[in-house]
Amino acid sequence: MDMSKYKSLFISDTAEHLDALERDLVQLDQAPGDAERINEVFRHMHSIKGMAASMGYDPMARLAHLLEDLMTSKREGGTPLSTGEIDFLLGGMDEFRKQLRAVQEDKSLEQVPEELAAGLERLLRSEKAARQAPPEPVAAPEVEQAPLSEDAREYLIEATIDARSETPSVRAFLVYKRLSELGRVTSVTPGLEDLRAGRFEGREISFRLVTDKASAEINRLAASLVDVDNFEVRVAKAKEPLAAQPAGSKGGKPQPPAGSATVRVQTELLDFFIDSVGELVTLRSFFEELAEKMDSAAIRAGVQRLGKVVRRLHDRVMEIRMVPVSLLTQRLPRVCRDVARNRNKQVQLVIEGEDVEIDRALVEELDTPLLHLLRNAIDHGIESPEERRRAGKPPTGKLVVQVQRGPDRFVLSVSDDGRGIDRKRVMERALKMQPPLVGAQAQADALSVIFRPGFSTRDSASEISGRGVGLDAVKAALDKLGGRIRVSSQPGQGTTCRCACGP
Amino acid sequence: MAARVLIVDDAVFMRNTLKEIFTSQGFEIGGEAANGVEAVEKYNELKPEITTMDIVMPFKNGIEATREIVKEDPGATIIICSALGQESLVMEAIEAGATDFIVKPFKAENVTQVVKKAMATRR
Repeated sequence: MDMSKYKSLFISDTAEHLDALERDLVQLDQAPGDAERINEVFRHMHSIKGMAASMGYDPMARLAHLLEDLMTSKREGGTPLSTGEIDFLLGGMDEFRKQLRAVQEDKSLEQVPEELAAGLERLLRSEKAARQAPPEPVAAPEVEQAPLSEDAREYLIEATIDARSETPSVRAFLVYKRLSELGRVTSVTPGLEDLRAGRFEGREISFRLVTDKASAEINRLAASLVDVDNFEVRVAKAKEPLAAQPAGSKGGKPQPPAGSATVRVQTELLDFFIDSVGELVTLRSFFEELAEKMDSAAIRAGVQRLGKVVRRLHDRVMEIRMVPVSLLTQRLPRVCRDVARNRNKQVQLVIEGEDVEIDRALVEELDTPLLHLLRNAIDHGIESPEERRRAGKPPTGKLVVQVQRGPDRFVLSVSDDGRGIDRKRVMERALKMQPPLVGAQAQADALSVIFRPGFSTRDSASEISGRGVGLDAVKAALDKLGGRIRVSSQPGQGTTCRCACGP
Repeated sequence: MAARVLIVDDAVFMRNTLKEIFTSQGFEIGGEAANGVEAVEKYNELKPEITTMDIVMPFKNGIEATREIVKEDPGATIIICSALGQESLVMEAIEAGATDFIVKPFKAENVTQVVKKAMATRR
């Protein structure tokens, strides 16, 4: 059957699917467990596969088939997409676009690149193996080990990462690394890919280790581990014959498809450019005036051209330092989700003003303070769902991060609709601290006391942000930028932290 | 004889903060470096008992420097200093051979604990 008359329809339909897929993948990057979206991606792949197959575009159909299989296994397994899997999907997208161009230009399609196809096939096999495997997911050993003797035994090791740790996934990874120096780690739960992606919700991690070292030596490891409580070592099975090499694999990460060419430039260099352009602008004005005085058409024409070039250069150079605020805020949804789940709270995060542009240096300086403010809002501000219901509020707290630009300043605010700051408790706490943060007769405002170093209203120090470092570090960062932070709060209604600074 | 520390960070402010913390813990400041290249050089010169290593630095980053140092000296005790949100970089550094890590902004008692344990279990 002659399919050529359907070609233009195929091209426009496929292009639409690809656009929708790109939007879905961006969302999935933020929320890798979104079942709805996983389904959507599956449907798109299924459609592309069907169309490409009917048109006889085999390489495209093959790629779509592999990606469709991947999505099927995710749907069935109910597990969120890993970073590696999202990379494959993005790689697949680029390949599709290349193939579509070839179709448009009436060129023959190239075979699917080997790394992509082979990588996907490996991934699919290991997914399948993982789902059929016994309870603990099998992860391939990442470290080269000397062959183990007949005396090797399998141990089950369980550890709990201290709730105070701000980097539990890295702590867990460190435990893995230490264990892998003692023998062969045959399984890690949660998996290494999750740890690397920072997906580590609970604080518990367990390993299976095959080693000929005595359990005493494994136990000694606990002494060297920071922020790890409850390190338990148990023999899993006695004198088990060494297992054959696990069939699973890492499902390797291909290089992310090359985007637009970029280079890393030292900020010093950028500052030099900006200064030099500033001087050029001054010199241009000088010559413009001179051209007027000398009343020479030739010089005036030359100066005009010079002026145009300098103006363009100036505009582009200024652009270099300006970046969209989304660079600062893009991690927030993920952090918000992790902290909220950790604290058993429900939080809806709204970010306003993400395409406002700010100076690059501000992004670097405000990164950590913004995270502190976010964690504080979730930890101290927003109440638990039950407490909120009792107060007649919806169980999901709302956290708004808003960015605004004025001609000479930039305002970043973090507001929550939580319980507000209890001024009385703040002052009581400040007086009780050793040494007291305020004199007994002081008129200090509670809302400024919270920024003093060491302040915290939590009695136990086992909270994520209740160690008293957060807010004074935020104020310090703002001071460094020549900015200010102002807090306003209504008991029972919420708190807003407003940071204002220059360009 | 006091143990010596090599402090590697491209920010003077950070190096000073760390110097203060280590001095109060009874360490001798063996040396400082402001980038990965200097870090490897100073390390080989000094062979310090412990090293703190920033990750993002000019010319050579902390992960590369750690890799090189550990290759020559597998017993090197290197503490990575990272900012929050650099978790995957820290994991890379651990894979490259770093002993442990601390997160900025530093809390002195956390640094002390990490350093104590690292010193106690030096290979």
